[in-house]
Amino acid sequence: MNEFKKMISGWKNQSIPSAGNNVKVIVELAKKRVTDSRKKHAATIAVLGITLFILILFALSVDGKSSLFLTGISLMIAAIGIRIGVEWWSSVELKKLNIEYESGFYLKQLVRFYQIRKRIHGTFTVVVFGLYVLGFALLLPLFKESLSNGFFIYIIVSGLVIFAALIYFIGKKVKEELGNLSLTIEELSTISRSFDA
Amino acid sequence: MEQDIFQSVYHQFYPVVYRLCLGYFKGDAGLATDMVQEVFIRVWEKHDSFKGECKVNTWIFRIAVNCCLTEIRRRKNYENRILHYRQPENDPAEKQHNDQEILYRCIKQLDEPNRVLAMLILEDLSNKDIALILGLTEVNTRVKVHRLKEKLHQVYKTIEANG
Repeated sequence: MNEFKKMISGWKNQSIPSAGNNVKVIVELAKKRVTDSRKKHAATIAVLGITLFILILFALSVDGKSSLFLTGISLMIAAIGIRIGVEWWSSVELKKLNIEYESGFYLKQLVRFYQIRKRIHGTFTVVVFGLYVLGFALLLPLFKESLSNGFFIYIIVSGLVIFAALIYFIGKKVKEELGNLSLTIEELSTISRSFDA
Repeated sequence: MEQDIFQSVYHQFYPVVYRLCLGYFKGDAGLATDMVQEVFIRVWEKHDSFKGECKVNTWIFRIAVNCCLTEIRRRKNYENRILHYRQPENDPAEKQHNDQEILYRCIKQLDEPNRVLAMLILEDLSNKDIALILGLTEVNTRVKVHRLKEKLHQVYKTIEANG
């Protein structure tokens, strides 16, 4: 018996833990995963949709709209609209990833998907957040005119605190996520190139 | 796929999928067990789309290889995801144990693409089946398999000789 046959024999004869009776558990986990994924997706769309709805309602309820107001509210609506669009696009791209593909092709799809995620986490997050903050800032003169001084200061302070906290946490998360995505893309691309070579 | 058919598929393919995952994770039984569960969850999720265009084992191997490749992303601390080789429990014979240890030492020396290929070669799959799983041409597969077999053979002999 040559070394290679010995390897194959050793490989196939290694002790394997019992498969057990996990079938029911696996089926339940698979069903739960589909439900959880749908719920998570629906919840994200619902939260964004409600925000969009409130903004549109607010836009419609204001009388004598100035161009500054229209620009501000439009930017905020556009930011939320883009975010919903990106969420939908991401879910469509995820659905295209088919684990049954031949591995070489699957790898390319996986790299492509992570490159999209990288763009979403990088460019899109900054653009969406920037548009939203800019839109909010443009509405401030209107708030100053129509709200009491105390409430206006409250909006300014709470707005600054919220945006600062969001910039810190989103920035930290995005930086970490972009780093991980870059490493993953690099590693998967190397494997993909090796398959193609 | 009814649950009873899935059960028979699960029991039939559990050992090969486990070995593939164990090899991919360089002998880490914990990671391999988690990955086997993930593979069969995917098999269950995708059973409706299996049209019999390839053999069931080709389909399952594809899912298993792709699940392992997807794991690269999940384990963010990917440098540490490969832990130390854990000896299989209840080794029936010392000789077999030594052979397996040498084998895992060989596998540890392979990079990711070659490790994937080695798992398929060690399952004694034909070049045609390997080509269908990885999406390579048969010629390319034959070249890669030949090179890897030579490499494994040399590493195995060196380790066996040096202990």
